Amino acid sequence: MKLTTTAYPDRLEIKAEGRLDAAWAEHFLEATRRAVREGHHQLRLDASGLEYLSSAGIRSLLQTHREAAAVQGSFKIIRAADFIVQTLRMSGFDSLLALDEGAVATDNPAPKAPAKHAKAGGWTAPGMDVEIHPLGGASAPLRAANLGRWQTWSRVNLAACRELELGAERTALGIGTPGQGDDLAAHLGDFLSVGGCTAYLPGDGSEAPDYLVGTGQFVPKLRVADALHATGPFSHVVRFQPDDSGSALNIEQLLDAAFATTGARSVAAVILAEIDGLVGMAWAKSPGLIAADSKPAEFPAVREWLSFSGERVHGGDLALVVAFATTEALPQGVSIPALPSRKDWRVHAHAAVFPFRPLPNGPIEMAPTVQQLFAGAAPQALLHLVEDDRPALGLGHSAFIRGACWCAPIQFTSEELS
Amino acid sequence: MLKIRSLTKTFFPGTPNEVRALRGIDLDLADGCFAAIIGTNGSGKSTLLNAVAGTFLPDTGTLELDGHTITDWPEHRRATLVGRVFQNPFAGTAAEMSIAENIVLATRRGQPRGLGFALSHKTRDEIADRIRSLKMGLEDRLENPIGTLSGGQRQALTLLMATWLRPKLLLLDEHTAALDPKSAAQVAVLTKEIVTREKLTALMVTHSMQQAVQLPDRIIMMHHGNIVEDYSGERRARVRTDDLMHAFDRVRRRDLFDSTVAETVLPQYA
Repeated sequence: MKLTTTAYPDRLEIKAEGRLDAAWAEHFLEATRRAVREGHHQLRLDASGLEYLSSAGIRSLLQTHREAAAVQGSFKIIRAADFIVQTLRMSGFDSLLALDEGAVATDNPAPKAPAKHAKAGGWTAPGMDVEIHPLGGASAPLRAANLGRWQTWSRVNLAACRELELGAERTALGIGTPGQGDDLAAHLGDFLSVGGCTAYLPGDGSEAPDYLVGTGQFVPKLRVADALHATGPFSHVVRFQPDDSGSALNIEQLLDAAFATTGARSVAAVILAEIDGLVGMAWAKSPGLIAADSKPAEFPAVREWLSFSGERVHGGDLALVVAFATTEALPQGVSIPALPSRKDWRVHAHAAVFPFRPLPNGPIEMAPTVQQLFAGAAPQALLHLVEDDRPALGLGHSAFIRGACWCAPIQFTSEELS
Repeated sequence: MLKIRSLTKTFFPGTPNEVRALRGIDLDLADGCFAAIIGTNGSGKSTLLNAVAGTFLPDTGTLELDGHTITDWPEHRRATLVGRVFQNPFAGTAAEMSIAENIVLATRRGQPRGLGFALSHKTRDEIADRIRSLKMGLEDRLENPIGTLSGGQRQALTLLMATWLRPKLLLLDEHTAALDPKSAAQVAVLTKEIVTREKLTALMVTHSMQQAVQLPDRIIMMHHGNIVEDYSGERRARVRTDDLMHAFDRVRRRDLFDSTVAETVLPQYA
């Protein structure tokens, strides 16, 4: 079977020539999935060249229909030959047919490239096509705080670890665990929380994160050694994808978009996007086990405590990133590390990795989207994102392909705000 | 059954090609335990198997098998206690000799082997019975030269020969790696059946994570001449292929975390 795709401003047409049977059904599904992944959610199958349609072929059409509908898209069959129409009608699947639409489409002018996402707000960023949508949230900055305030590499005072409720309105990241007492000491690790969904990687050698999802009266809580958090609705969502150059977008570009969109010098950002590659670290051993007289940050001892990704990882998967970034002086007690390539920027970002699933286009809501994500599949990894700027060897920034970046202006306070 | 203490071996010491293949291995293998050794290329897993088999003598450390200190025993003497199956399916049998003749040689491991008639009717029947258990139809082809068999059939017979006299320790050195996928799966199943039925103590080197998860009671992972993971008991019961892949990834990441990373990336974790 030969597949030819043509992008129109409002749809992607896939012309199929040959047999759509068991031998080709999976090939067809892969092609439509790739199209959805690339942001084409209005799909049309030009069936004028189809010579045969088996039940396996019909199944692949129905699957494509379901997957397009899952992202608020559509899938229709146009220009179908009579035998295709008859087969689908007899099978009871004639709702997939859009015969009138096909006739009109034939008269359309020459195909155009897919619609570019319009840049807005007077801001343009090289390498990106963006759509900026206000969300109706408060334009006043959210109060952001640093809770726990553990000094990295010092002995963790377990009694000073604070409880942090992680409800649907709270966005947070840091080092914590649901445990208490000895359990707390042995299991502290990185976490992030968005929309009442919390993913945390216990620092006990676990490879896969665990997670807590708030439902009904249940609100996830962690004991945290150190956490950045902000509570309230986000003001904007920026939908992004690479421009014609096709180069993946790094986290610095996305945070730049968040700064520009909110007009603030301190932002909280939640990014949900297809990953090109993540660069990060994770606690291999709970920092709660650091002894008073040890020197865990010295090489090579540090390798017992921290795991480094070593390369750009999880390409093709989906990342949920929580980031706090600022370009202004921080109040006393708030600590965020500087970004090596932008000394005036301070950024702290954690990413949870999920199997890829396409996102609907347009202004999607943050909490429901994240809740759907956690309902679909467990997180596979959790990383504290770092910039690897080593000369020659450096892996650079984490990079993303397309997705959504929700952002909110924030104002850090010296209070801890538990 | 097998006790290994502080075993070290360095090849080409003092030269630019020096390889510290074993860096102080401690390992206890209980009677009847079937353990798999996995690891990256050059991790020392085959070297450890060869050290136990006596292919070379270790630099330091001790080896004890079935109550005998075998550290200084030559390879042929250890063969009285140890059965081996190699990666090459043609390595454990004599191609020009018949299936039956090959088996008879195996039944006399460690005993004098003269030039008299080897095959009585009783012996032949016993051989046919045991070969029938392979379910390969070879019991009717006892007179065929073993060289006419496929790699999978030959490796199955090698396995049978290596275990005929119930060795104190069975060493399997990537014994399915050179077989086609179907034969490899067949020999893997046979291995499990024979080791379980005969209650053998076995050490198997494999690159197949699927085999490592499905066959043994215990999984040992080596890296740079050390044992870095030992999955046994409850931990072994819940281990999956993904867990082993993660373990490989973990040791690889650890290698990539060098001093340059510590200098330049760590400040972002402060």
